[in-house]
Amino acid sequence: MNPAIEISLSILAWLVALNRGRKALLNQAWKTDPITFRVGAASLFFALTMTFLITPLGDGIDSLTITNLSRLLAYSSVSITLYLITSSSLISFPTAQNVRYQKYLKPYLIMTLGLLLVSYISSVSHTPEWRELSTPDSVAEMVFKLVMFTHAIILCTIIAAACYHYINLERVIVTKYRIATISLTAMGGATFFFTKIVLTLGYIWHPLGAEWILTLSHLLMVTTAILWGGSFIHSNLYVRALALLRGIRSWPTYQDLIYLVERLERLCPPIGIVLNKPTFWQFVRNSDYHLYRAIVHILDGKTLIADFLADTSPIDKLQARWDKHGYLEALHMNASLQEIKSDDDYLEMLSEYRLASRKLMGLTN
Amino acid sequence: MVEPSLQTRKILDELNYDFRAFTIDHFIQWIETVKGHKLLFFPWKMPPGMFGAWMSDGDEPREYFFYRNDVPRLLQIHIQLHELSHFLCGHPTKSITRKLIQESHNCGIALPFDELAKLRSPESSIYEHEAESLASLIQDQVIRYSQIEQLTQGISSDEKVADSLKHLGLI
Repeated sequence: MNPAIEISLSILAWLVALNRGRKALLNQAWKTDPITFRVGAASLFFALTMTFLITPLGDGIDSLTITNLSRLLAYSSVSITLYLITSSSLISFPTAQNVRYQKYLKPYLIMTLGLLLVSYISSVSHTPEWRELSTPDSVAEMVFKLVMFTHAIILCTIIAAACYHYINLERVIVTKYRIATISLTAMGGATFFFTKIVLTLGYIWHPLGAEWILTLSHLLMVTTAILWGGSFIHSNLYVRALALLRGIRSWPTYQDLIYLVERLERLCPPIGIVLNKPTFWQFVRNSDYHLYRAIVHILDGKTLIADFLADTSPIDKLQARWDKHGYLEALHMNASLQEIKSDDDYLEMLSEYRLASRKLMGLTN
Repeated sequence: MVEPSLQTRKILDELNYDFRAFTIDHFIQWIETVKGHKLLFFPWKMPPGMFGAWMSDGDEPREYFFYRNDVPRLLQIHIQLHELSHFLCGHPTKSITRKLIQESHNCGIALPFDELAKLRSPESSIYEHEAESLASLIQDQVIRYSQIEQLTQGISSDEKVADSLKHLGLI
């Protein structure tokens, strides 16, 4: 990676770490709030990881100390980051299964760090300085990477499973979607690290280091990073995004209702003002309002047609309102709409009037 | 949304109403307090083609609102808001007395609905437009707030999750 990008990412990671760390320090989170504390610490370790991965800085550390020490520091930091995040997820989503996982985490972290250290002392520190290639240059590098990537896959899978076990218990829709995003992030992370393992094994069997796997790996990294950002956006943005999605989903319903409104408006004058038909984007931004107004218009038209047809005044007066074709259409429309009896449940009304409209279009029997 | 005029927006702003608390009854009570008028609503058998009407008391600060009794509740609330909007906009209306309403109720004497500006009469289209704009503005506000309410009922089903999200600054 270009050092300029490495430095930019590192600065970003430090900004997040300082923000989270400040909150944790101000609230003295280590005493009272283990989740905030863990997330704050994880941000700090992640920033350290990104710093050690800056090539010129890593090279500098290595030349001043021992060969590839920057890699040991980076891999250890990222292992601790993943441990802290997994641990905070298990505390956050306290299902029985998640509590069980919790006790295995620390021993597994210690084992991973131990393996990294042993592997470093015994071989990695004696190998030439690493070049960042898709497949390793030596057995030592391969083993070292496999230890860390396996650790990452296991922990990402635990996070995804923790979210999965909890998601059905969550009733608040915004939080449900947030947890789904965290779960997807973890799955993305696990898949990314899986491609890294495949590429690493390319040292033994070259086809595994194929270009397309490298491209896929980069793609997964970017996707995971975007999802990671999505997991931490403010709830208000989730609310807006969900409203937009609901709008997109209900656009076809609105189109069907509008057909009915237009048919009714042809038969009887609208109330006070004509229904302004929104564009697609206007609709999705405020779909509940537009659907509600369409239903109001339909109920108004339905009542009015029934009134006109029930009018006991002479037939020629009726004919002054409609010609023969209009009169027959009003009779047909009235018969269709009077069949709908669901006047209490709003969602049922939406669905019933939509169905009536589709029947009038001849799309449904 | 139906384009509301600056005037209708101003009327709504002046009410200074918190739409998070909206129910039709609460909204009516609020207007009673702000305007200092008693607002009385009657489900009524309206003449064919008519949905609602508003009349003022000639003697006391009372307003009488009539809405069709034979339509779904959703439409009734819409009619109530539309008629209330006429009152809030300060449109002209007819005066009646409580006695006349009582007589109408007991003896079946027709109320003077015909004399009112009928909902669909062309000459009253400006008033109708204004009232409908205000009613639609109110509905828009109610829906915007209830949407957020619906989506933010609490933070989470689990107190621990809610605390975590709060502490992480995501709420």
